[in-house]
Amino acid sequence: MKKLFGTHIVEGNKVERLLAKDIDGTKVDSLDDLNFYKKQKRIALKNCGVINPEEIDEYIAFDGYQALEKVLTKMSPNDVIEEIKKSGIRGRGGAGFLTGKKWELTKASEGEQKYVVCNADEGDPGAFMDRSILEGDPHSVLEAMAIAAYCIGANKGYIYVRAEYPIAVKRLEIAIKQARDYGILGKHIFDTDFDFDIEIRLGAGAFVCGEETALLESIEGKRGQPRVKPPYPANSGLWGKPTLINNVETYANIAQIILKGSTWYSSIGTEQSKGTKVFALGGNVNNIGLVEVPMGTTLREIVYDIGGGIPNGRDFKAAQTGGPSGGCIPKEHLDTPIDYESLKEIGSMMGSGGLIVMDDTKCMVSLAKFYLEFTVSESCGKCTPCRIGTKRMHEILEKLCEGKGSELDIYKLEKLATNIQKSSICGLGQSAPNPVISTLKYFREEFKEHAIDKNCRALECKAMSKITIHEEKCKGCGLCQKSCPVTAIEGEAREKRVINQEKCIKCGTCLTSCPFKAIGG
Amino acid sequence: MKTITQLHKIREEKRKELDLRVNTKADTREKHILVCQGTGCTSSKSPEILETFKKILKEKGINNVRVIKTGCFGLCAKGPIVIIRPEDTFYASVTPEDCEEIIRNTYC
Amino acid sequence: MKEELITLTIDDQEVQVKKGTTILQAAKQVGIDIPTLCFLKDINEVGDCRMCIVEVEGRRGFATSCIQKVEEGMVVHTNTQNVLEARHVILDLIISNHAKDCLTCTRSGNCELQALATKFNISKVEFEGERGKHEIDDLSPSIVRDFNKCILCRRCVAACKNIQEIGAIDCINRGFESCISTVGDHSLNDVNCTFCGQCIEACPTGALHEKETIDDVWIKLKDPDTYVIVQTAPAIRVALGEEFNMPIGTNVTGKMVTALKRLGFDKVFDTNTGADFTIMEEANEFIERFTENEHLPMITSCSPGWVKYIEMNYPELLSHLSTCKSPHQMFGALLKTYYAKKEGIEPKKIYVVSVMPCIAKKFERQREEMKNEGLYDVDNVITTRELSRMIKQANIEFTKLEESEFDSPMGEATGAAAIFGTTGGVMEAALRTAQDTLTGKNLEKIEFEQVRGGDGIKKATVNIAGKEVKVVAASGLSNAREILEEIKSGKADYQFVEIMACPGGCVMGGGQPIKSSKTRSEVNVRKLRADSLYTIDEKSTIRKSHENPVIKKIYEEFLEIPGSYRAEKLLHTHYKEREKYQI
Repeated sequence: MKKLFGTHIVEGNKVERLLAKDIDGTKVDSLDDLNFYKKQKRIALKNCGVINPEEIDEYIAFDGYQALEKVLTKMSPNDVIEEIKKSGIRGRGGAGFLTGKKWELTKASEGEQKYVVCNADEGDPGAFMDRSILEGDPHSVLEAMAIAAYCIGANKGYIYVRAEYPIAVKRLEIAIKQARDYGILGKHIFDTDFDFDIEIRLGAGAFVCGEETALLESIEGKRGQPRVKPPYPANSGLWGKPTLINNVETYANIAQIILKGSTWYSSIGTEQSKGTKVFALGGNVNNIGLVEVPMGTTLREIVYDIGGGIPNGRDFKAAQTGGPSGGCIPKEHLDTPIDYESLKEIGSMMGSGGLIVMDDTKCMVSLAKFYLEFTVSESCGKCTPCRIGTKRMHEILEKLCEGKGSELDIYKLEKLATNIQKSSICGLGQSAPNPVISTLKYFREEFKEHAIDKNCRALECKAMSKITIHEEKCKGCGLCQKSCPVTAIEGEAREKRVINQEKCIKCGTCLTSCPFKAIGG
Repeated sequence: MKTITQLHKIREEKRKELDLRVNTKADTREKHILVCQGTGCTSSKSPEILETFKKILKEKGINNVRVIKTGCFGLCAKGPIVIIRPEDTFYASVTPEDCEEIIRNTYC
Repeated sequence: MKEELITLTIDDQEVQVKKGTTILQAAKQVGIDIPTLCFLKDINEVGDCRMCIVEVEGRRGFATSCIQKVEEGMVVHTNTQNVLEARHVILDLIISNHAKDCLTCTRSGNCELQALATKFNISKVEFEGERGKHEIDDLSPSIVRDFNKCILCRRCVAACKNIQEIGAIDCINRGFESCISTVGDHSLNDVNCTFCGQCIEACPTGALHEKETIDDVWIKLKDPDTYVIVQTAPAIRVALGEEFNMPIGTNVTGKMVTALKRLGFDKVFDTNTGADFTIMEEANEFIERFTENEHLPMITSCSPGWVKYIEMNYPELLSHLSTCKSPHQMFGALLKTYYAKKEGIEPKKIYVVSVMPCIAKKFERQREEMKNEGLYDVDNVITTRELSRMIKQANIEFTKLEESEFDSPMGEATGAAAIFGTTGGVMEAALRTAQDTLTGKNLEKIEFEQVRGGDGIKKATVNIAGKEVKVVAASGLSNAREILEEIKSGKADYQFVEIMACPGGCVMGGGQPIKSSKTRSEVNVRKLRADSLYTIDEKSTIRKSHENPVIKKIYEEFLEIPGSYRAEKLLHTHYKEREKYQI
């Protein structure tokens, strides 16, 4: 206990019962002691949880707008682009295009009027990286957009953010107003010739509007559907003018790169993927939340060290990255370093940062079906393969899950997947089959079981799952019998129990009730 | 409108004032109670927690403990999260009813 | 400046094309056909259907050949196994969601989807699945929308939005639920549609077609108590042959008349005669307005889609519209009055059928203003396409027919009337009569080249009786809008305007034979049909409406003079402001 100099405040006692506990149950005094934070490195999230996002002065206190000042007063656009290129940062929206290269291309593109756009239309199920940055540190995005605008020669910026993010929108509005009041947005910023202002555009919740060209259409006031590329937005973007589009998280790194230098930044991460990546960790994992780790951290570290492992002592089955556009990573690849190339190699993708962990109670066919269902309802309907093809894939997956499929359906599924991938207009359609392709790659046996044996080993597909009690493991405790809501479990006290399949509704309650793991599919 | 010099001044002064946010050894007369106002914590009543803290401090006439709204701390599974700086005490699953006790223990 | 040339390789052939050429066009230049479905040259170049995909070396995924431009050194493969399989899958998917009732579909035999299915040997659909079920919208008098046959190529949307700038239809909903509909998913009858029918002309399948009314014609033809008169618009004769595989623009007047007589019509008359009346009345109206400098510029009113457009969009400018009824309406009115009396037929026993290149005429004929003594001027309007179906139904071998002439006395018409069917034609015909009337002479210079041709807006200054008259001929509703905006803002310095709703005029009307996307990109259909009309004019012995002896006679016997009380009553009409949306 220490006495603070010249004040009557002393370090008080801690409220023991409210202290956070680590997974092993030890109470943790401070944030730094939590395993959750130990392997993290916060760059994009550096101010999240540190500053009040509604106070520009707090942002300024932590080096805010210093990078913009440096850029405007001491660097040429080419210097900046060179620095960003050297840092090696790649687009955090999913595709991983080199950010510096994108800036360079947009700068080189001829045109009097150019635009800078921030893609804040985060739509992957379970993803909330961009949302958290906007809610926790909105000025970092404004600053980076201004830097980008200076580099490419734009004086107008748009932030396209989902209307379903009311707190993010509100904080952005406050931030823009404060920046304007301080003269950081507007005319003659920092007494230079550089003018720049930002407008917020609200998206109405169409997933496809996260696709850059559909996003542009939407800003222009049209139906949000993608354009055929090329031409790329760098040459023909908003209203046909050269436009730079980056994702929220990409922007959140920029000021740090300028201030700390590209050498510092590129020292973090792997050979081809520099810096850190923010993930929204969810699913069957203890520490659900937002994590930022250096590129190259393994999936095992994220799931077990940071995420605290799988709840209820169950087994890790797979992790899904990249949302509906991504794929799943099975157990054998737990030690894969997470970066753009490695993920692609094993059939998944970085995506925007959704990371969903699944334990062995998850059926992979159902998982593929879940993502296809999402794509079907979010397809814009413009091109045939995505509009009808994903629907047909979903129908086939439904058939398999209902136990009505055949091996031919797996063949059809693969044929559709390959052709939709190659022939759709935009990234949404091109990546829509990924969840199917990757689950088929690692869990083909499960698909076959569904198709041929009419069996779902995870017991998730109710139509065909059969729950049984393994005689050799049953100790006759009777807990399952008590838990069963339809009295489908039969047997006398202290005797081995049996499930009456006629009565069983496959609710799975008995599975969790058995202390000996004697019940299964 | 702020000139560059004014901004520098804000940065310098404010930084001193906020040093305790990132420095557990900060030499300060103040304490900051950081209340997460990210979406997850917000939906589990963190705005109410923030207001309760403010109300109690006002009632007790404590004016060198500040309550700050911040963005997401990351460990959403344990929200609402409250962190006391500079010592970095990490409180999880806080409810508005806990505020009184936290202040009593923080400030004595 | 020399045009930049690009060299590329398509299917191992080296090709040199102009910069800016699409892969599709470049392939066509070396005789390589790439299938398309949503592509409609200059109208819909969006790459939605994905049929035209090709492989470009070094590029991930397929390239969209209908919109992607060639690049130097590009290596394109249009028919690899990958491409062929992908196209097959795409076509299969489209068909899986298409109502396959080809036997009873009006587009069978002229359906781009059907043609591709044959070409791709789709003998069974591999990816069958749920099909969207949609109600058919047949509430309008002109257009039927059957979404069950729609393949979402959006050619209709582009025609409506980009060419006509109406935007009555667009895509609603998302993904598999996407469909082409109107504001609030209402019937086309209740929204801002002008019934120009350009959407039908653009549709590759049977999803859009005219509201067919030939059954009513058959019933009347069988009824001995009804005197059934048919009249045919100028543009029919240069397009009908196409439905019987004759070259585009062939003049089939004689065969058409024979066919109509074989079908059993009591009289076969020519709407061109009606057009000559229109000129008499319109030229007279113009001279009056011009002399008194009132309600200028005067705008023609023979295109009913156009009339509906101005009523809905610029009601404040309605006084500029000529009060003349369109030719077939004038003609119908005269048939049920002058002709009925002369022939001693009870007017209510006369059933007038107009064969029109237009579907808006189906709407026009049932307007309340188009009645006289409780009887409609015209009882049924069928399109060129519907007439061809009647001829086929009657098992008439059209191409082998002898030629015959229109019936007298309402069958004689002038060259001036013939050119009514093309943009600029009404203007030219009116000027011929106006200049003679004003000078009192029989002038020999009767061709007004400045208002001919396919441009959307053609402006000219003509000298009539020593006075300069500035005229404009516009076709297509986007061009009409431009002219109306000029008038509205006071910038218009012209006195006489001809407007036709369809781009190119009636020869390209919404009731004309439908040409495939391929034909439309290879052939100038408008020019072929229009040229044929100008040839008819050239070969006519009488080329000025006021010199038509039939016209002279009827004015003498019945109407007295243009603009007389009786002419006003029978041949003129009035307009009203119309709500765009009745919802």
